[in-house]
Amino acid sequence: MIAKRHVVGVPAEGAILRPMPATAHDLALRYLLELSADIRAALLMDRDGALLAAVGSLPSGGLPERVRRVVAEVDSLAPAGETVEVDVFATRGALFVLAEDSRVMVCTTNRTVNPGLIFYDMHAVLRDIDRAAAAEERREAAGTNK
Amino acid sequence: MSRPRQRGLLGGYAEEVAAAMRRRRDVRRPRVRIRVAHGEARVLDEDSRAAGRLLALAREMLDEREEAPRD
Repeated sequence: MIAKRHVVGVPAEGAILRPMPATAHDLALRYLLELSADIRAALLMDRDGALLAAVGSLPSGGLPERVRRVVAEVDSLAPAGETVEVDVFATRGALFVLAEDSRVMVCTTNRTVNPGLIFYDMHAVLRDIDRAAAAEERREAAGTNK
Repeated sequence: MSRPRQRGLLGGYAEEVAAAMRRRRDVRRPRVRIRVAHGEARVLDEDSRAAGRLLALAREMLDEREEAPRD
């Protein structure tokens, strides 16, 4: 039996309207999927386990609970706030977790990937998110000073 | 006279094939690797609780069904 999958951030088949506009986090994760064809799905959450964005092919149901478990596992492996990279190679795919500062990024990929390249792309996307957030803060500050 | 040499040759091939199969199996074996604060990466012990939990989580996220061992 083929598992039912749903793509978060992409309207379901037959849907007329998107539930909400794409956020900067959504766009960053979509860019990550474009960077590597091997990445099946990507998720971004904060260190408290709250899901910020998710794109790609993910199993339906139970995502918030799984996300909280990922964050709990990462926190149990290293001191709080420390940068942690975890790669798990299972039978038919791999899971990559990157925890840095206040965010945790997760990717699922094929099994034949080079872990170094996947982490490189993940770091690059987190840098882009930081840069975008800093630019937004500057824009807001400039707006309030006027 | 040629028989022992033939057997040696065949034995050599068999060993090579067995080694290749072993390497292939090792590469495909599930593993959990962690790297903290840009330090040295270490592979978690297969039998450790953390490795088991992370592997189970990965299988859920990858939507993998638990497979029965082949042998």
